[in-house]
Amino acid sequence: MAALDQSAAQADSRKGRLIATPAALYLLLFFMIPLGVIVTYSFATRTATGRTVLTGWNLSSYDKLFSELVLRIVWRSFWMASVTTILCLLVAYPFAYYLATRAPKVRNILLVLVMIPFWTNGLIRIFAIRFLLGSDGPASQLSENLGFGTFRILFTPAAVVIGMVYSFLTFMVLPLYVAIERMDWKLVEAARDLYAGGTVAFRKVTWPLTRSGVIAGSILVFVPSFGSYVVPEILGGAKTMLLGSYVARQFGAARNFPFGAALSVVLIAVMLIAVVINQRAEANRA
Amino acid sequence: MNESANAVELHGVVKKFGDVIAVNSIDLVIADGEFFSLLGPSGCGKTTILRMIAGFEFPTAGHLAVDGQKMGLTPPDQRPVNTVFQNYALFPHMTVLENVMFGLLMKKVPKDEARETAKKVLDQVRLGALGERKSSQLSGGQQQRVALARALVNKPKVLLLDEPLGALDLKLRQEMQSELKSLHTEVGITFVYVTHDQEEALTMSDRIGVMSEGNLLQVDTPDRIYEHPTKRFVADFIGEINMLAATVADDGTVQLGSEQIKLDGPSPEMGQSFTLAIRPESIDLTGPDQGVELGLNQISGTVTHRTYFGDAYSYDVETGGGVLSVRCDNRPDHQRFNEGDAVKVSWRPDSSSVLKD
Ligand SMILES: Nc1ncnc2c1ncn2[C@@H]1O[C@H](COP(=O)(O)OP(=O)(O)OP(=O)(O)O)[C@@H](O)[C@H]1O
Ligand SMILES: [Mg+2]
Repeated sequence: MAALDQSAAQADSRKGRLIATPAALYLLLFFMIPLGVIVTYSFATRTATGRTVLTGWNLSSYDKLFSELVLRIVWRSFWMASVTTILCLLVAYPFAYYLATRAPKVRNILLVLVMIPFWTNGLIRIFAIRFLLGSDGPASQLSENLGFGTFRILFTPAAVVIGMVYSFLTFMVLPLYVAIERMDWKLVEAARDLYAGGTVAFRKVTWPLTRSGVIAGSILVFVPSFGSYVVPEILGGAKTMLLGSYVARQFGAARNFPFGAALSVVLIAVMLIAVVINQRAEANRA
Repeated sequence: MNESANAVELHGVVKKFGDVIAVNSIDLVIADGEFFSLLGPSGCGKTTILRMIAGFEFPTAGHLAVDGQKMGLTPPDQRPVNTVFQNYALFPHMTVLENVMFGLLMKKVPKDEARETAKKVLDQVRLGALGERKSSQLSGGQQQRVALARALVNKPKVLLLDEPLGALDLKLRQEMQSELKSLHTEVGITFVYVTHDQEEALTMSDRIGVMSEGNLLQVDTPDRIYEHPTKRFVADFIGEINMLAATVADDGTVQLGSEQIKLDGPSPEMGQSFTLAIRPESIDLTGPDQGVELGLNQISGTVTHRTYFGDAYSYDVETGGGVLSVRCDNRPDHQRFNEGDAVKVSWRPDSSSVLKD
């Protein structure tokens, strides 16, 4: 009997492995191997002619990470991603709250509205923003007509943040919506019943119970913002180079593969830290 | 605190949700210190009444007062009432102790004092050792006690309990029933208790309000509710009961089918037909020739069916007034009848009730 059970379990796990094989192969081929290549390259040497030679392993690419220019770019990427994340949270939380507290029918319509921009090409949307923010664009003209004068916001950090908030807002809305929607409203009532006013009940109950959504959403916005390439390329000026563009430059114009690889490793490390934070939060919640 | 005030008063309270009338013009006064139960089937509006007292819903019409003060649109956090929710609604991100301290801290009680008070109340519900646990790590019965402690620690004027034992198994439920009852005596707080379990209501309450479809049909002590229901629904909802069509003749005598009977108290108007209700265990069964006490109603009939219950026998007796169900305790001196036996049924006039629909 026990032997039978065991062989059944073995058959099950064999079947499981079979099912997982395509995905495993795919990940191995297009994720693990490139990742290995990146890490390997980060220790390689760039010759004077811009070729990369896989001999004489060294840490010089990592040394360069601490140059002032790089630190400034990392810092700028960091705070712009942070501002983007905070703005997304401020915009998305009330909206997700509103969404989650509607009748199911209204909720579904609103959810579709949230998703629609997602189905249009991101590049086109960013170019649309560029047109919108241009010094002769609608936003500026409206401001002029209202008597505030034209403004110049395109190619500034503000434009990049606006673009990133716009691009990544959905990533914040959805996890927040899920967290708020599955919260038990009886708990808020219980808090009100125990003499908590509306604001205090939110702070003591709603907020902590939806924190998993806040953390998940923040990570989903922060990580792509930190390594963002398209948005700063289109909306940012030469003075607002971010990490993503800087990495791309190393693999392009600068032809410094080892340094680009080292920068990428840093980006990946940031992402891993974010994942760990998220898992800690999830574990705490359970 | 208002010493002489009633704990809760409802005056013409109506609650509509869209077209649904959840609560229909209810007048009710609950005295200070009372254990009052709202009893009724699912969807009859019990929870809605509790929620209006707690301040989660506001009456569409009428008004209600707690501790002598009109509540109007007073929000829940400013009412001297606390609720034990149906599924407890304990805060999952807090420990048991933090749950119990919550209300005190909201009332700005210093933290140390709040902790001491909370611990005392946890001891009172026999959970003193579990203060540091997360509420999700408790059994159903323990969660129930935490919910109780969390509400009681605030010494509210009124404690609202919405089917607090509904999620527990039978044995635990019976245990908690007596625990709740003695807790009520101990703390002296007014309990408003919602249940759809008739036995629970009968055993625990000082008074019961029976509800149906948003209406409060009868408010009375448990024995009055059981023995003298005034409405057909109340009689039917609680226990088993015989309901027979009767009329008051023009000369004032009461006819039950072909039999003439007596009622206790004021009879319905002359010429009117009504429903006579009487509990099976209020009826005596004797042999056809046996004498019965003077002043009892007695009719003869025939046993058509007998059911054995172990502790009792139930007989169906065909009489001139209709079929009566009679329940006799299975005592050593019980005279057993067989199907087909001629018998006499008798009952005291004050054991029967006159029902309006
Ligand atoms: N928020 C609401 N919106 C619409 N209808 C409601 C709402 N709350 C209650 N109702 C309706 O009001 C009526 C009374 O509901 P209530 O919850 O008071 O019943 P109940 O007696 O507590 O029932 P149960 O024993 O099942 O808990 C029901 O018909 C219910 O559908
Ligand atoms: Mg209910």
